[in-house]
Amino acid sequence: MRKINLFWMLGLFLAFILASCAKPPTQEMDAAKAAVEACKTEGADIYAKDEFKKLSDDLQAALDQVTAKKYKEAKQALIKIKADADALKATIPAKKEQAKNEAIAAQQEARAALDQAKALLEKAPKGKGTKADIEAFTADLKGLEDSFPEIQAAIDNGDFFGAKDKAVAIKDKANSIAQQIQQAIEKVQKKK
Amino acid sequence: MEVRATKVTFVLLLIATIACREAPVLPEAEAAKKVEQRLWEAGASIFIPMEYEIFRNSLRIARIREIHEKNRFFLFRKLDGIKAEYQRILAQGEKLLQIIEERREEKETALFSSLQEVENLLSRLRVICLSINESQRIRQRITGAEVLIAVAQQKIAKKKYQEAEQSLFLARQQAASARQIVIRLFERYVDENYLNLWQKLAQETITDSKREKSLAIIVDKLERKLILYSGGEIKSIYNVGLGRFSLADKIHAGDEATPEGKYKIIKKIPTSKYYKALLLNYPNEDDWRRFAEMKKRGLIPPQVGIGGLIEIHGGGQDGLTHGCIAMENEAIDELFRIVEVGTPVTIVGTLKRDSLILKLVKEL
Repeated sequence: MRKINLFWMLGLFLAFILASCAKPPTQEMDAAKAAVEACKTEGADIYAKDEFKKLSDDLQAALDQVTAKKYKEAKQALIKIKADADALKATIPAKKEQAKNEAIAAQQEARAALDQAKALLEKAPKGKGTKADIEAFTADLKGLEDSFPEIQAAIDNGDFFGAKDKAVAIKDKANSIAQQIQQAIEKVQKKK
Repeated sequence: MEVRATKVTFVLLLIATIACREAPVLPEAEAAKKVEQRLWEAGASIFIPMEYEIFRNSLRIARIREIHEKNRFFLFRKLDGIKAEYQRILAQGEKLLQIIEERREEKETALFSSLQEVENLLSRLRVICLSINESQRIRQRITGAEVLIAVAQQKIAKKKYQEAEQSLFLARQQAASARQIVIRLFERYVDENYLNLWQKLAQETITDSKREKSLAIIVDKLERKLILYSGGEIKSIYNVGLGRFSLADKIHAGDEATPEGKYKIIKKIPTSKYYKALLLNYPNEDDWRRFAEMKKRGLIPPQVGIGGLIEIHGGGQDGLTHGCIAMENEAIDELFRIVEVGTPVTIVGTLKRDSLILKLVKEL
C-alpha cells in the first residue's frame, strides 16, 4: 500500500515538474514573426492580400495560444505558419512580375494609342482653315505626352497597379482624341 | 476484488477519455471570426481604424479566455460566459459593418461630388477654349486633369479611396492652373475700365460715321465679328478669324496679337497672299508712343521692332493669323467693293459685356 502511495506521489511530482518547466516556443515565435514580416517586406500585403491576411490571423491565433500557455499547440502552429509564410513569400516575385508585365503592356498600349492619334493628326489636311483645330488637338496630345512619363515613374517606384491605371486612362483619352481628329478630318473633307 | 479493480480502471479510463477530448469549436467563435474577415474586406482599417483595433482586441481576449477555459478539466469548464462574450463581439461587428457602409457611402458621395466639381470646371474651360485662339496651354492642362480624373474614377471603383483622393487632388491642381491662365487672359475683358474704353472708342466711331454719313468698321475681337457701319447704322456683320494671341493688344512684332485702337484703311490690295487685303495704318501714333515707353522700361527686347502689315484679308475665317483680321473670300469680296482708303477701322477687345464667354469666365 505504501509502495502504491509513493508511486502516486512520485507521478504527481513529475507531472508538476514537467508542467511548470514547459517554456514558450520562443524560437518558433521569432521565426514565424520574422517569416511573416519578410513576406510583408516582399509585398505580400499588396500582391497576395487575402493570403497574407490569413497568415497574419494565424500568427495572431498562435500567439494567443502562447498567451494561454498552450505551448505544444502553439509550437505546431508557429512551425506551420513559418512554412506557409516562406511558401507565400516564394510566390510573390512571380506575382510582382506579372503585375509589372501587365503595367508594361498597358504602357505600350497607351504609347501605341498616343502614336496613332499623332499619326492621324499628321495626316490631317493642313491649311489656314484647319490650323486652329490642329493646334488645339496638338495641345490635347501634348497634355497626354506630359502625363505619359508618370506611367514609367510609377513602374520605377514599384507601383505597378497605379501605372496600369494611368496607362489605361491615357490610352482611353488618346483614343477619344483620335476619334475627334477623325471627325474633324471628315468635316473638312466634306466641305471640299 | 479483481472485478472491482477492473471497474474502477474502466471508470477512470472513461473519465480520462472524456476529459482529454478536444473541446468542440464554438459556433459563436467561428461567426465572430467571419465578421472580423468581413470587416477587413470592407476596409475597416481605413474607415474605422480605432474601432476595428478595439474589435480585434476584444476578439483576441475572448479567444484567449476560450483557450483557458477549454484547458480546464471538462467538468469545470464554463463556456457560457465566453459564448456571451462572442455574441457581444458579433453584435459589435455587425454594428461596425453598418458604420463602415455608411462611411463608405459618405466617402464615395464626397469623392463623386469633388469629381463632379472638377469636371464642371473642366467643361467650362473647354467651352471657353473653343472661343479663343490662346487655348494650347489651357487644353494641355485640361487633358492632363481629365486623365487624372479617369484614374480617380478607376480607384473609386476599386475602393482605393486614398489613391482616388490623391489623383483628384492633382486633377484639381491642373484644373486650377488652367483656370489661372484663363483668368489672366481675360483680365482686361472683365475690367470695367477697359470695357468702358472700348465702348467709348466704338461709340465715337459710330457717331463719326453718323455725322459724316460715312462708312466705318468696328472689329469685336472676343466676338470675332467685323461690323460695317454706314451713316451710323449697321450695314453688315461678318465672322472673322484673328491672331494666335488675339485677346492681347498688339505691342511688338512677332507677338501674334491683333492690335486695338482707332485705325484706318491705307491701301486696298486686290491680289494678296490671302486673296484680297485691306492694309491698316498699324502702328498708329498711340502704338508708337506705347512701344517707345515699353522699350524704355526694358519690357521689349532691343532688337524687337513694333511690327506692321496688319490687314483685313481673305483666306477664310477659320485660320489663325499673325495678328491680321481674316475673312471668308466672299466676305472680303463684298467689303473690298464697299470700303475706300481712309475708312476708319476701330478694333476693340469686346463690346458685349454680357457675352456667354465672359459669363463663363466670371463664373470660374
